[in-house]
Amino acid sequence: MEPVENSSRARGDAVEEMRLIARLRAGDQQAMSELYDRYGKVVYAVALRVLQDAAAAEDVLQDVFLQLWRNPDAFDASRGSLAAWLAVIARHRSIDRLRKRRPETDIEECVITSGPDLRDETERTLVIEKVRGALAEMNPDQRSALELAFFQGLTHSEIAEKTGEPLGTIKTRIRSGLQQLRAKFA
Amino acid sequence: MMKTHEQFADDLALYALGEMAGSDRQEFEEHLHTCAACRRELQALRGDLGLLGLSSSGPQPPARSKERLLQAIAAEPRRAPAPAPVELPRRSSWLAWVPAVIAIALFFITLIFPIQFDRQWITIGWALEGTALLWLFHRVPHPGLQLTGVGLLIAAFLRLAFNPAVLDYHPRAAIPI
Repeated sequence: MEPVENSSRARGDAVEEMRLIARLRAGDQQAMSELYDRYGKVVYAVALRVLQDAAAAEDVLQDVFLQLWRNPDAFDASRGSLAAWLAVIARHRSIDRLRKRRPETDIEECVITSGPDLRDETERTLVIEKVRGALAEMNPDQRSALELAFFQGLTHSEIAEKTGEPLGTIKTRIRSGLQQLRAKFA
Repeated sequence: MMKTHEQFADDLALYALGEMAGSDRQEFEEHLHTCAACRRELQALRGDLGLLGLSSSGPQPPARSKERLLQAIAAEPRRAPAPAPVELPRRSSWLAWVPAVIAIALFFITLIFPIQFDRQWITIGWALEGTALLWLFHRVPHPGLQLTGVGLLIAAFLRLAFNPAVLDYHPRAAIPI
């Protein structure tokens, strides 16, 4: 009965993650080290993709985890997955750095809700594959608009200028692209 | 000119991507306060962005990076005054009571059955409560919920298993469970 075993292990991972977060809130450095082992790679991958510079990506990695250490209450476990939350913060911080501006994003703002359970590693890998599959299936213009907005931090107008498409088209592409991703997990 | 709901809804992705600034942002946030549909869609879009972020893959971060982080956190006095000393401690101490209050409520709900009801209704009550808690555990994986749920189901099972009445013959209409 593999599915049952999988789901009970997934629950085990979920409980383990909640324990880690509770320990983190209590100021346990070992918990921080374990969370880093779980999610350091995700944060680094996003930062590296945005910044295209290993040293800068490493700085963002440090910064994101330090923020989590300083303010663990900013992450509300009941409202979403830590992996997705960290990925979005890593993106925002990297874009701030790319634009050489002071951090504009308040980490408490980055509430991520709903979505699949990403606490179990096997499940997370499946979800990531599914997201990549959804991106690969997308119309190339739409995928490119999403990637330019998310990973290169271009504003909608910059994308419109770069691609020569009307601004309204870009807005629609990005929004419906995100909705297509969501539909894969509905 | 005042923007319409559709115009704001069009800009939700822009806002979620952190692209809005100045008066546009302020105007947008004012609309968000009044529009539950936009708030819901914004939360969903933020979830989508999280998924998009996870699609990146790359090399492992350099090994020294972990050391550097652990040194940095060791050097930070953890319980330093928070940036918002008035609000944060109050909120967290209030939140700290939530599990205790839930535990006490559960305890009394469990007691209601033997106090208010008798015989089969105790068994049925505990079995239903146990099932409800295990369902809840599926949504909110707190080990206390699982423990209490399993305990109640075991109690209900024992009440059935050790009930001598199950060995006697009763007419169908009068079976004391």
